[in-house]
Amino acid sequence: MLPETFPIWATAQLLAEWWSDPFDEPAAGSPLVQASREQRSDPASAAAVAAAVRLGIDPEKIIALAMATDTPGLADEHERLFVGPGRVPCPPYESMWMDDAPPERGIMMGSAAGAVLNLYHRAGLTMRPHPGELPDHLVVETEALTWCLERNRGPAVAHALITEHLARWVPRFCAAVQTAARHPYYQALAELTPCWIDALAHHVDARAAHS
Amino acid sequence: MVEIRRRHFLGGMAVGAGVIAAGPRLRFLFASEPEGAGVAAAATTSAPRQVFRTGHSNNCDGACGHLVEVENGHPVMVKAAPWEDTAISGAIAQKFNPRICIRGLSQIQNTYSPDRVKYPYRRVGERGSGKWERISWEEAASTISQKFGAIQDKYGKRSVWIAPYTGSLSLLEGVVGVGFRLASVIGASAGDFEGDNQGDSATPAGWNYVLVDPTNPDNGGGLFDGHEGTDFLNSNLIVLWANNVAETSIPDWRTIVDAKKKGAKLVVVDPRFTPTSAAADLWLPARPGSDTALIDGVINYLITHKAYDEAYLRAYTVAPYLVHPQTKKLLRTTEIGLPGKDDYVVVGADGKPQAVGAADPKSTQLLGTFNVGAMSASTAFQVLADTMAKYTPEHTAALTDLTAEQVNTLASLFASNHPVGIRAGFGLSHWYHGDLTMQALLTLQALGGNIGVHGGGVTTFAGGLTTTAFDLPGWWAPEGTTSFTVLEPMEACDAMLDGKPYPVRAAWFMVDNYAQQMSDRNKVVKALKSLDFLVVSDYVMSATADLADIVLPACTYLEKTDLLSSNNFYLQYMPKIIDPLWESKSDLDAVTLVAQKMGVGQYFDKTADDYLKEILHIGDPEADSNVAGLTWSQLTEGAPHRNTPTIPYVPFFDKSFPTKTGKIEFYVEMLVPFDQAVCDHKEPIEASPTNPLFSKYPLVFLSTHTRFRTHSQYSNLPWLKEINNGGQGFLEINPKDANARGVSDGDVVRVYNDRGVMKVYARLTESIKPGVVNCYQGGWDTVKIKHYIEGHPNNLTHQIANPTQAVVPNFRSNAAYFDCLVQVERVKG
Repeated sequence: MLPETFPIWATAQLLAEWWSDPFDEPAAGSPLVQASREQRSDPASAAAVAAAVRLGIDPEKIIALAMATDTPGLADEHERLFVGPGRVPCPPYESMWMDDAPPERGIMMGSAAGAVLNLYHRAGLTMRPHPGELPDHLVVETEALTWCLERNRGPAVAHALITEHLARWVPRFCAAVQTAARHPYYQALAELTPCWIDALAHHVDARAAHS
Repeated sequence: MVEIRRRHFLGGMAVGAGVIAAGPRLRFLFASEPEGAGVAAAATTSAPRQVFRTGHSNNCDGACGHLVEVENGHPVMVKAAPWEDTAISGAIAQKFNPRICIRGLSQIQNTYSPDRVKYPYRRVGERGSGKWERISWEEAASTISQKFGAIQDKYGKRSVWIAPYTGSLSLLEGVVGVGFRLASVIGASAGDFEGDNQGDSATPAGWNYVLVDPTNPDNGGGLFDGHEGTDFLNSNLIVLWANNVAETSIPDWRTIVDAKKKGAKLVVVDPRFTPTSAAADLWLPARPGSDTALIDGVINYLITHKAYDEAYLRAYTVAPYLVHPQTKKLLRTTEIGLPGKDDYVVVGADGKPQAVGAADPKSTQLLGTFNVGAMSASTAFQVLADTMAKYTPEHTAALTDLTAEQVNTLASLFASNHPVGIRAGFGLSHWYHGDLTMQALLTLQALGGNIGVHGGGVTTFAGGLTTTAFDLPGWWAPEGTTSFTVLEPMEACDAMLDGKPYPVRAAWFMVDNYAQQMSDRNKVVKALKSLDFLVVSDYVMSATADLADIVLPACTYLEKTDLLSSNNFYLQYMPKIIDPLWESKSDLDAVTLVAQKMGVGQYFDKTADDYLKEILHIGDPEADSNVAGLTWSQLTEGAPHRNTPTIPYVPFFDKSFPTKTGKIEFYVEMLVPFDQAVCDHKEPIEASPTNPLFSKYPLVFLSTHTRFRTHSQYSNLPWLKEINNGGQGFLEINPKDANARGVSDGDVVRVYNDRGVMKVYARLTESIKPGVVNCYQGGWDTVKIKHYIEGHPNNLTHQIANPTQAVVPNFRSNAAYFDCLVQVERVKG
């Protein structure tokens, strides 16, 4: 049952999916959505656990996350923590976390946003015409990372995205989420994500060392 | 294997080899390189920077031009923009090279502020509880349409109040914007388009008393105009009265500095020592609210020293016109049996009364009381002189808390300099009798021959919105519709609470922070909470948005097409530079959506550019002379100056005044019932030592602008807060007043009167007059963000309306923010 070659890019995509906005209608035609609609739960959950194992993370953390998804109020909590209206305690943008006293004194579209845009370009990626989010949003950065990891499209960019960006700001961001979150899903996700990124970093370093 | 069956969790699962083979899902990005490109090639370097010219349309009379540099689709730099040195017609205009300010330089931070409202929301808790549910634009528009319709059916069409305000001074959105078009087509009532009586219509009312007949339909209910800012280069004496140009209007400050370099003298009247005061040759910290008395003192000096322009008074004012001794109105020939058609009466060199039309204007008597038939009538100038006689230097000094020497110095400056240009700040309009103060300033300027001349005038702001260059009637009321019912902000507050003159049960605020910036905040909040339905469009969660039923995410000026022509006489096309962020929409787009749901979408079916072409009548031979010959490429490729009769623009340059007499009416017949025919000083309605309330509340409470924000915009930007006391509000208080109250620097104080309370840190400073305190307005008091410890300056202010202003329909009600008394005490512990 366990897919033996659970690809690394798919582990990055899991991260993007877990952090994405519950309000959004997922893009039609995505096979992942299709599968979730058909409720193939066993392979799905197994795949997630497999991913954790592959990355060397305690699978219990996955289970904690999964257990929390049906607790009511998840969408409202996402809104309150990350979206609005107005100022939120945990804005999920790298720029907001990269200066002193984040995020109260942080600014949006800071130099981090420009830096990741350049990385995207190096990987052959551009923001869509109406992306609906800023380039240094957590989900955008992990989406780019996913792309770079798949079929070895951009190992140098993947390395930079993790080591120069995600690994630097996401732990701070997740610490704030753990403090501010009231819903077990985001508490669990904020605890899990830094390990996940750390594990991805090791993987990317290992690949770089071998290439 | 634990079976984990979780809906959301499943959404993220890769579920097998087949799915994995499909590859990564890209929602925000797309791949611009072909499949299988392998290792990323060398950097796809960003395109060269694009540069856009736009106007900064926020609520500031700087009306700056910005060059916005864009890289990778994002703005990265704002700089001062150049201006055309020709007018539309090709005539040489002027060199105009103003500076922009830190607010302009912070605009990118503002557009990308984490305080931005990203999506529409619906309230789910009590009003003001901060509980929201995200909804789609479709749902928001449908709800608004349905609610407005139901309320209009039940309470009448006017029970919906559309309230666009000055948050943006641009044409399609804001103070003359699309909200009024919506109001017209759905029969709603709507707030004032200009003279904006949240504190700014007292001096415009006064301007009309003297220079415009507000009863003449041709004058549209009242006008307001001023000298182009660069005209101060032509002044020999500049008086900045109750404003702080060095901090609030940077482009105009450049002109003042340049004028000083050319030799102009500068007088500043302000109870505070500001950067503007610091540049003055003469700084006069007059008692706030005593300004009319000071002006009267100068008028009396000019009269007693015969230092007035006789020829000008004879030619252009009602100075020689006789006043009926009983009715106090201007005397008519028919009242004294003079032959010929009915006319006003003057007295010739021979001492005999004549019709104005028959008299030699060069020899009419200016002063004197004459026997005319059975009565004894004085000239208007004589009435003025008699009324002003009590304003000796000593008496004036006593009223204004200045010295007689200071009064004499000011007066002799007026006597010995020409032209004199006066910039009358909105600080004067924030008083109950601000109308009278403007009347007095115009009287003074008439004496010196300073109206309708370069370098002269009394200007609050210029150009802009009161221009005939825009076909506002056509924009607001499309063919086949009737224009909206005007309901001023102060009147609307009463209508919400009392249902008079008719009930207001719903409102839509756009570029308007009514619940914080309007006076008597406790009353305003009570009124808004009583509404059945409240919509607020804003780009931050303002205090007004906090109270809404539906919040709509608005755009900043970089995200929408518009046109700015405010305060200066240039046309500044504002292109859309970036797409609206998240799901924000321009007011034009938001109104269009709602209009479509309400069945009036046919009035909103054009693009922004199309509307601009229509409103300016581009290509139409019937276009207003101000914009005659304007082409679209001229408009969009630079910032051309309008075809004003003079450049810099001077109102009434032809000395033709749209008054009943055709002259400057410093004797104001229509104000006889209000005992205000001439500009005799009146004490403020509240902030006067003659008020019995003064013993309880002995401090005058000002709430002025700060250079670090524009009203309540930019208040929470990190870099601006960093240089503005960390964003923490404070009360400026003189050490004398502080010591008397046991207040030390940094103490928390309670500022209060019978209307409300606020708590704030005290900052002791010699730069404010004893007896006066100041707390900068515009900081936020919202559910999530508070820039004062508790409350807001408008908790203390009032909505006492001056009925005199009703003679000018467009400027009939005014919020007198500064005419306010408080007490201050230290908060213990």
